[in-house]
Amino acid sequence: MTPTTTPIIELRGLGKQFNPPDGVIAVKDVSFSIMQGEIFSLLGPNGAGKTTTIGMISGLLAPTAGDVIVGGHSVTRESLAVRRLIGVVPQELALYPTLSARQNLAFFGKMYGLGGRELKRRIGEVLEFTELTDRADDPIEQYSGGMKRRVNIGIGLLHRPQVLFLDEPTVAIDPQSRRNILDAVKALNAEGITVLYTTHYMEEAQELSHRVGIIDHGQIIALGTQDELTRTVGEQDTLALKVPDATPELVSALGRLPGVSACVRADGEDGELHVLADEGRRALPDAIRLINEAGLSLQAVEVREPTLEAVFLHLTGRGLRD
Amino acid sequence: MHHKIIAIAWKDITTTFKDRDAVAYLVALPIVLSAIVGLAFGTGGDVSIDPVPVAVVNQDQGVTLPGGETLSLGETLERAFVPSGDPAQDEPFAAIHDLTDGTAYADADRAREEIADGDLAALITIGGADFTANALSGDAPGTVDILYDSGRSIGPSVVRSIVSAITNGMNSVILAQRLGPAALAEIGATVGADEAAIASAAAELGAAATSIAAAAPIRLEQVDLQGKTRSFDALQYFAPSMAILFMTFAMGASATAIRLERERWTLQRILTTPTPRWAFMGGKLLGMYGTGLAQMILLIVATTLVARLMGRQNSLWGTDGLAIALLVLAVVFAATSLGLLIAALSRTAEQANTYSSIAALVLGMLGGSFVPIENLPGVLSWLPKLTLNYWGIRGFYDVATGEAALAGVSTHLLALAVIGVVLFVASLWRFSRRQEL
Repeated sequence: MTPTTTPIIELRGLGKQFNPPDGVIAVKDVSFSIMQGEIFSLLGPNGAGKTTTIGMISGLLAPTAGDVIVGGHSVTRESLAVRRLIGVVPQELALYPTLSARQNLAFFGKMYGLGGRELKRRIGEVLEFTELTDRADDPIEQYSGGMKRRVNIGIGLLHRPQVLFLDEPTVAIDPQSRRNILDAVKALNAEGITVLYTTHYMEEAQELSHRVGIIDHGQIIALGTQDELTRTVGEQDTLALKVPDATPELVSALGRLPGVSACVRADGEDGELHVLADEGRRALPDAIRLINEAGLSLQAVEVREPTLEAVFLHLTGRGLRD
Repeated sequence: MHHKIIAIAWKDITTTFKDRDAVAYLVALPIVLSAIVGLAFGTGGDVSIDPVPVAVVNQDQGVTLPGGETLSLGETLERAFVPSGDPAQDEPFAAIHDLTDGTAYADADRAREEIADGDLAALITIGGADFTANALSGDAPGTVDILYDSGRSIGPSVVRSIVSAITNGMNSVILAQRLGPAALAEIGATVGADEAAIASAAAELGAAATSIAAAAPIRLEQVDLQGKTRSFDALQYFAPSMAILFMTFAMGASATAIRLERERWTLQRILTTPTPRWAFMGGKLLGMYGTGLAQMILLIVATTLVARLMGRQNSLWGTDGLAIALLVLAVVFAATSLGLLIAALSRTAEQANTYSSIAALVLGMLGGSFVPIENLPGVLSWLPKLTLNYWGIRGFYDVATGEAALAGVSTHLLALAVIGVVLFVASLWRFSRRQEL
């Protein structure tokens, strides 16, 4: 769906310090708006403050500074009104394992205030959407990880929320289930649901989002469409080098090459290093020389256009999964 | 909002009773344990302890009365414990014969050895061939020795109390017999009666006193024995004991479940729906109370049926339905508050689990769920009264044995209500201090 220009969520100087005055500051002075019909991704490494931010927007955590307005209601003052508008899918599998999918949906449906035929109908629709109708009456504890994730998402959809919060919904699942979830998010957005999606997978944010907010150490360090963000990297390329058994010394030496701003290991891909360079092709000979000097083999080379990961690398000097 | 509270409570109750392990633990196990206790102690409610094995060495030769009959007080005492086989003679002592297993011994040394070996509880030695003669003449007191092993708790005290009651009875009759003829002679002399008439009246008085000596003391003791020792009914005691003990375990499991809701994130998920914290807490409380109530009702029905199957005639839990119902409501309330306090004091499900096991076992021990607690020494004597087990078990037992109706258990109900309110307020205070569930 094409996003409107009407904000449905507004974060105003939002902050959270645990155990003040000396405790950890998890989120600091965060302000941005999410438009109606938008898929907005909050991208950042683990511990950046994504879950704390979602916790405050959904009313689970009380902010120590600022406020959030959802659909015109203040989270701090009209918490119940906000909760009627939102559906929250936590990162944890927040399910009762001995109950079936249908019983879990029925229970949480009642918590959303649904009942009678309306509840029964919505349970049927959600089971169909999550493709769990056949297994609806089996206990959750007998489900695969991917199926549990789908029930976890389904619960957040029961009351047809205007905004859906998905907190890292693809953690620890197989590629096919991940694909299904990403497709489901797009389908929900096509039906008009605004989505706030947190992830530390750059590819997911790139594929789904209309706009992305990059968060690090509790602060928003960049915000905009994907094009806007990659433009901040300028003309820099990402040089993807496949070097099995690359040593920390090599990573460090590659990062210090002339015209190179950073070098990190790519997560999930064995031996792949990402070098952010002003001109990838120019930096390549020096990189090959260093690899040879280290007695290691270079198995593959690729020069890539700027990505969100490059943006993060550019802004922080670190990889998203460091 | 009440729909949500009921939904949370109903989810908890059905989850508990759908879990086969939980049902086995919380319902089946207490029934089995009650049945085992019932089998071990007998289920009829007539005699609930084994007869006390006792030896009697009777050295008394007795005395020959003027009418030619022989009177032996020693033999009377011996017959109290050792049946003669003559129903007419044994009838007055039937109650004692139920309680004791008396055997006449000729050899006191053998009896002593058997006491040392634990085969006998006590040895009664009726001292000397002149026991009756001495007792009647007043020249020297007749002595009855009781030898026992102080390591045995109940047996010797039963024997002691019976012997003491019989000898007390005899003493009063003997005194009457000694004083009677003298008084009669004095009265006769005053009114001018002849000596023969006085002697005849004295002989009649003596015979009457002798027959009283054989019967009266025994009747005196029967009342005591039936009131105290004979009517202790193990099953009536242990059925509520086990039910309350396992209900405190169930409340501990509910406390763990509250912590689990946080650890599994289902609590947080509920709090992202339009459901306030107080409604969640209300639902959990109602669920705990409903689980405890269902468990108690199931246990009462099931143990009653099991007792019937085992041949029990009288009612296991008593017949005062209102008193039983109020005791159930009060004891479940107190246990629910206990569970809530455990949830409030614990930070994790594991911690709640540990705390609740400790609480259930300690309260069970102090409150008499494992063994009847009569008297703890000194300062500890008030400890059982702080437990819901103590008041619950006593209340149910008194109603079951018919010793108390509703009015009789009002103290128990009040004590349970006070325990419940104190624990409830303490848990709310603790929750409010922690600012979280």
